[in-house]
Amino acid sequence: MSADSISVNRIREVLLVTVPPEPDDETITMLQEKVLAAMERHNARGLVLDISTVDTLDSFFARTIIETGQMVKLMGGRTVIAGMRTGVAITATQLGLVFGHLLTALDVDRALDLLGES
Amino acid sequence: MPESTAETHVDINSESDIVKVRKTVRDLAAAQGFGPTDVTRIVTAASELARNVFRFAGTGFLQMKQYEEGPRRCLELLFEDQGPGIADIEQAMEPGFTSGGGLGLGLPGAKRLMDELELDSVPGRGTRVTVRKWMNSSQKKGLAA
Amino acid sequence: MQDEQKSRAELVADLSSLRSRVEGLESSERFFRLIADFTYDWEWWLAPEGRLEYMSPSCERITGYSADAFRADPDLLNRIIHPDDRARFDSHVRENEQADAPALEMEYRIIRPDGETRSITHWCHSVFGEDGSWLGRRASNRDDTSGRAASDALRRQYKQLLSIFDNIDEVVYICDPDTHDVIYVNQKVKSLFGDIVGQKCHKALQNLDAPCPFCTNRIIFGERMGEAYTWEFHNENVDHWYRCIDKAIPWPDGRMVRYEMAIDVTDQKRAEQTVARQAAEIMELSTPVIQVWEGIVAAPLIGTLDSERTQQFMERFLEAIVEAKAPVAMVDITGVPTVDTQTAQHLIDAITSARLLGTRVILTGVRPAIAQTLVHLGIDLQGIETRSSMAAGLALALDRVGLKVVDKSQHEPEGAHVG
Repeated sequence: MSADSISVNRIREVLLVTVPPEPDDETITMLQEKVLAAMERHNARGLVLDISTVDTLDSFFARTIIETGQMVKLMGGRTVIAGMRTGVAITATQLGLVFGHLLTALDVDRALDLLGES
Repeated sequence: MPESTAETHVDINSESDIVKVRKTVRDLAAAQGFGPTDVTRIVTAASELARNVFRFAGTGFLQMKQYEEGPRRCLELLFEDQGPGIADIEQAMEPGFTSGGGLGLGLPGAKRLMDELELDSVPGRGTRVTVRKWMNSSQKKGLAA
Repeated sequence: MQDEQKSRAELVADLSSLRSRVEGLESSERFFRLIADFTYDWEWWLAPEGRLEYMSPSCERITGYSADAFRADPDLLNRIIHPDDRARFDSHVRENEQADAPALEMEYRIIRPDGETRSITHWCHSVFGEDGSWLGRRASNRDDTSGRAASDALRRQYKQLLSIFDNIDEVVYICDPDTHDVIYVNQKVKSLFGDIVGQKCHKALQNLDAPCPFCTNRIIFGERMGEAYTWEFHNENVDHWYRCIDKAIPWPDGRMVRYEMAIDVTDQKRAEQTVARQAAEIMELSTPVIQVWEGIVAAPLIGTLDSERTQQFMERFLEAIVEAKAPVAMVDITGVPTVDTQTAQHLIDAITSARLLGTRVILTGVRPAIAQTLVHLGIDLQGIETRSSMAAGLALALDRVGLKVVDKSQHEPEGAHVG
């Protein structure tokens, strides 16, 4: 899975990242870097992470997402995780992953609503 | 990447091998008939354990086995490495225990997602983690495709 | 005078040498008679024309008749043969009335004067003089009654066993574990598969050209040798379910063979499957997940929850939320009196997972016993909203989706009296 498959899009003042189905560690790390760079470039006030195609969410991925959320917060933004699959939600819960202050939404539309971008 | 038939042995030497472990385990678990949520559980547990192998030992392997006991079918995953080993097994099984700077949820998390977990580790020699997931099988059929 | 003396001397010499020859012969005769007469087995010598030349005295011990009796009555030997074996014995004797008849072995029975039957194993062969002339037939007979009785008894037992099998209305068959040749099938097998004795069991019963991958021979001839091994099997050729009992058993010829009884449990299996399906349906009924309003999913749980049911409920609950795109969901456990710690954990997991989807979850109807369990578990209940009753939960849910309940009596049209 090439790291180039991460693209960060901007919808007005919010960033949208669609995560590919089976991201490897390199892709996930690249995601964090690209997000932070884009946050700065666009002075965005929010980030939507679309994980609707992701089948496996392990602790490394979760850790990176949580860190990214913390970093976005430090840069003045809020993060929403959108479209988590039901199997992933159950597995993440049973694995003990805690997403803390990160917001979640059923899909990208609702995520954008949550961030005030309709 | 070429589509591979269900392998039973995967070497873990790099980060991309963790992805290979996930894909191979997913194919095998789905073929064995586990439901989608169980498949996700198994794959996630495998990802955690493969990651442990790579992170702490650098190199190791996964050996997969399917077998039946009466009407029940079992998927068994064995992760083995010759890394530093785990000094305090009890501590490693504590939820929240961190030794690698991460969330440290590898072992207790994997245990919660699977039905059985066996840990065999000698400091300085290596580690073997065996996890199993069972499914009730109401039909006994040959496993040939 | 000298000729007379000479011939007298010769005569004496001849006599003397004759005497010593006779003594020698008598001595030989005593020697061989000793050997022959004291033989334990029953031996005889029939001259080429069938006349009895010799009968060992041991005949009396075995047959109950003395050797003299046999010599006096040549037909006695035939008469003591068991009626069922007589024809066979006769043809045997006839076949061997030639010099070049080979050495033979056969079995027959005799009947003693007291009526007792004895089993005899008989060997015979042709005997020849030094000049090569045929001197008749020599026979040695052994009383094999006890040995034969044992194997006869075993054979009788098996005949009984096999006739029992024929009366069982289930599949019973026996095959050789090495060659997989079918050795025996009962009537039931014949009616289902035909007489498949001699065919390979995997071909005749499973339509496979090689031994079945699930063959239990390695179990019943391996670690579980001598024990019965029970397992269930679905035969796709006839679409029936069988409970199979396999065992390694001894066969009269000495080898260990594979025995299997396959009991048709198809009806039972179908009933089990129906019950399982109905149980699943009941499970779904008692853990219903309903969309009570647009955007509101409710799960009023009823009865005793166990770990498995709660896990299944979890999946349906989440799927309903995704499908309804519900911003709020309710779980009511008024109808659940108690839960064990594992189920309580699953319940909390269900709520936590739903919240990971971005849905607000309200838990209502928590009974005291469950409140205790949850707190003792030390579960982080932070962020899980609770209300005491389902009604209160519903009010909150409606509020969440931007609705509110209004009392219609407050908005009667003008002119109407409010009673």
